Amino acid sequence: MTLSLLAMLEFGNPAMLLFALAGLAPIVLHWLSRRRHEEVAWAAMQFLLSALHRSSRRIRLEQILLMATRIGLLLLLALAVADPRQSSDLPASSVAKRGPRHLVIVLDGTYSMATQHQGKTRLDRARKIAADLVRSSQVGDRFSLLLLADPPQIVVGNPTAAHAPMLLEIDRLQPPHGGSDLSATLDAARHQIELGSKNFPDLQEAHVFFITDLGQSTWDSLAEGKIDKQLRRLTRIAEVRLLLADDGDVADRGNLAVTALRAESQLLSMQNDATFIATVHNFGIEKIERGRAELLVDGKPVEEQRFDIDARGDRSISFAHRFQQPGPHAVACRLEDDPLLLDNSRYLVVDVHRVVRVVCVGGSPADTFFIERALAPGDASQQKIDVATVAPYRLPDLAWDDVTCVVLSNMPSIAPESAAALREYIEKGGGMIAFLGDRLEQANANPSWLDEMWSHDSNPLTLLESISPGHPLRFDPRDYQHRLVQSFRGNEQAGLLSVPTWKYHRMEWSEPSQVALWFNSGDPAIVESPSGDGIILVVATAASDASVDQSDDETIPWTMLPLSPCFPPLVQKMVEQAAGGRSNARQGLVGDPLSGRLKKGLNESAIAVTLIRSPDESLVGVEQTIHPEWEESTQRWSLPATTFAGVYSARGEINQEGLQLDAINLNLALGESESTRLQIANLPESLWPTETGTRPSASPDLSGQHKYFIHFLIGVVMLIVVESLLTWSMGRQSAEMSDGV
Amino acid sequence: MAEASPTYFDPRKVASLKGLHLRARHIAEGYVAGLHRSPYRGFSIEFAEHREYVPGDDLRHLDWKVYGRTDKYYLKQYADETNLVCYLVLDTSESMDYCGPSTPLSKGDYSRCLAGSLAWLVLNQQDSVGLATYGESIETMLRPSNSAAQLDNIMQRLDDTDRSAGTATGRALNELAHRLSKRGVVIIISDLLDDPTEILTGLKHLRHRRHDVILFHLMDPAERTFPFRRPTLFRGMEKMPPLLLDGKILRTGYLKQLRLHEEALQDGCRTMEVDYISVDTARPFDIVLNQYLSSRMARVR
Repeated sequence: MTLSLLAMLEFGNPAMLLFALAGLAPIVLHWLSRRRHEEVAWAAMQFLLSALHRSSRRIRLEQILLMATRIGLLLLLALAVADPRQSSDLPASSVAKRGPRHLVIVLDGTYSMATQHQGKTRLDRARKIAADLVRSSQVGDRFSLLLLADPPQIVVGNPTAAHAPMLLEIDRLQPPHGGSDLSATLDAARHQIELGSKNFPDLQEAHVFFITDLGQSTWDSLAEGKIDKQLRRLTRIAEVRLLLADDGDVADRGNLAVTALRAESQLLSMQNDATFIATVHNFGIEKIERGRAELLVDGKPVEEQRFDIDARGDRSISFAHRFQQPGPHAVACRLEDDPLLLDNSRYLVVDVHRVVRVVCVGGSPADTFFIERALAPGDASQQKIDVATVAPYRLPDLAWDDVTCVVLSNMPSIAPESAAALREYIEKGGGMIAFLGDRLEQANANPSWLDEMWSHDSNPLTLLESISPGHPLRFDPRDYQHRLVQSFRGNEQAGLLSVPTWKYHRMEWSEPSQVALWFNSGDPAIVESPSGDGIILVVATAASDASVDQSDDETIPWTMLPLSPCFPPLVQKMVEQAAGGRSNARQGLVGDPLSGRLKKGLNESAIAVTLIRSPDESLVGVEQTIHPEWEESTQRWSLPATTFAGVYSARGEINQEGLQLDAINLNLALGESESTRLQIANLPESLWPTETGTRPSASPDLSGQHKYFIHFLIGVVMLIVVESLLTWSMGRQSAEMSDGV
Repeated sequence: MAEASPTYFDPRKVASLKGLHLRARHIAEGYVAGLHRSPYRGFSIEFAEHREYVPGDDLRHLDWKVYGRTDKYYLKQYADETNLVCYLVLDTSESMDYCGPSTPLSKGDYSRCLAGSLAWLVLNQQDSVGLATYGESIETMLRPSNSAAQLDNIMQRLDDTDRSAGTATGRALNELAHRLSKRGVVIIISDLLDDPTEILTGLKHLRHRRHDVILFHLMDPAERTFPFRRPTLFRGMEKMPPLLLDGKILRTGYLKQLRLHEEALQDGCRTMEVDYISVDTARPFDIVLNQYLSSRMARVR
């Protein structure tokens, strides 16, 4: 009976069963004590024999009982420390009275689960809890496995009763470097339960286990009415439990994160030092002194900075670096290691030019005169921008790869070939600035050549009629929100606000275009509009005093902007803004699609997207996919869903030769860097396990079905009591003997 | 407050003396020397009483020896009764050889000393004393006498006594009852490790023959307290098998059996008016003798 009972058990620490050999100790001690005895001659044997005859049965019984108690005590102790559990191989009828259940395990897949403590991440702990849940389940139970992420991932959708594949899936889980969508995850869990009930009618109960670190950014949303309703709906069909997979009071350990990394200027060339500005945030509650940040270019450290940062504070750190090679470079700011490695690095893929070259195209030389002076003032040797003026008809023949930005001024029209070349350049990430003027007005072309710069069917920007309100208008930066005019904040002497404008083109704009500068009439003065990977900036008025309004008796220029001291910095900022299109296309957040432009002759099947830099270096070399989607209309490839932060490289083949197509970096959305855990009191009561009452379980509760540790321990305690009573009872004789002596 | 016993009654002191004769003499003389301080008056009941002659008395009872010494007529009153005949009956079985770890004399040595000193006292009172020893039966029988050589004979017999492998106290007492022709005082010295029913049957037979019976029950202190705490191999005496027992566990049962045995004997003795004197072999001899004498005094009065 006992053996068959033991055969029903399996042990968490089977090596501990060796301690059961200690059960032989009482027998050995008894044998030894009988071997070592005194020897005396004795006369009054008749009393001994009589006493022995009368009490031998009781004495033997007591001795056997005492020895059995001691042996049993040691055996039970050995069994208890061996962590006995009910064997999962038992027939269903012998396991439990309850029927099979559907256990939906939802692992927190947010990147805060990568937080480390003592060499283990929270995800490691969550995996162990999940595996324990599977191992300790009843025969007949079925499992589903979900990942709490954004969007949620259904890892094991069809409820399975097989342990081995389930454990393998748990072990192989690789959560994305992203946040979470609790609402969608609750829906997914409910859907899984409904699916389980439909496909497996014998499932009598459903349990949902959220194994999470209770990160505030994820679970704060519980306060929202919608999610609360979803949770209530879920609890109506399943028992929902939270299992903590954190490592204690994580807030005390702090966490630094690089929250931003940008180049001070988009115009990066080999001729000038590039300045990068990283912003570091301290999510912890203690000030950090002498923190270390380093700048890496293409994976190699190039500069290091030390910094102090207050608790919950931000700190900007500047790095300078001169590039030696043109083309795209992966720049990273990396902090020294802390519990969460993933947010210690932030990436920026930048385009570096040999020189910053701006091509000016004008209706007449006068139209580009002020622009040229604005971009290349003073001594030519000190100039950072190489400005070239070309005639419109030469546009198709330009070496576009060397062009940083094209500035068109007062162009009445553009030949179709030139327009096509210009459009292709912009879509590849080039920048274009268009100043309007009287020539366009006179051409009265609607749709104008400008309309052809967008590949969309519906242009986000449409030129309307030119108007002269009859009084000078001023620019209105509207709180300097746009990056183009931010540097003018507090610099009123630059004259941006006092520039008079008498005439301009009205523009109708829509998303994704945005207005960078307004007239005080309420019409846009400068509109930024993306086209392909490039950026187009359209200025509603002229860049030259050659554009004059002759409608009135008095001839007046369209605007005094080119003569204003604000014109040179404004034009330079516009070039920088327009040239940033290519770099902007290379930045993204985890979850954004990866996308790139196709090249002529590209072998479409051979393209590969590879993660070449990763914050924790664990995923470097992981090839995300070799089958990106193709968009024939836009001639682009794309990878719709991304899951990991880092720098990606897209490579293709043309005529069986490898070709670097693009380099794109994806950074973390930093919500999960907040190390604070949701206050337990803020959790809905429905999530509380009734048997604990004070906090969520730190380990899976197996409902007393399978683990016998506590039962064996109770047995040990009871045997200790029995042994004490027996010893006391038998010891009374000894006490009487002492009294007698 | 009881006076402390003089050292010459201490069994340790007695054990240091060589020879039973010397031991018995030492005890008895010491005892008599202390009589003037004792509340008792020696063998008062055995002592022959004289009273002056009054006319009408039977002249056969006149004590001529006294008349010769004092020139006065004294009458020997009940001369037969005052001529005490004392039978010393000793158990000489193997169990009497037991000597506990804290006692100087074995039960056998103690019984011989006790018997010898009693013999000395009785003979010193001009009374007759005899000796019988027994094991499984009567082994030695010395007829009572008050001659001067009797003491030496008794001592000799006590010294020469062989040990008997077994005990049958009841049978021995029955046999003795048949063999004792003259009524007297029978003093039995034994550890009484035998069936109490048979012992009492033997005693009853003696009482039936109108003997005064005094029973000295000798026990070693170790037999009374059973001071064994560890597993012990008890080698049985008198053909008993050896036993390996945990003394700590069996002690209660042993003491209970011992108590029942003693109670049975005491009750039987009380019923038959036998003087039962329990003797611890570590106790001084004068206390034991006093116990005996006090019981005799009480009976005569």
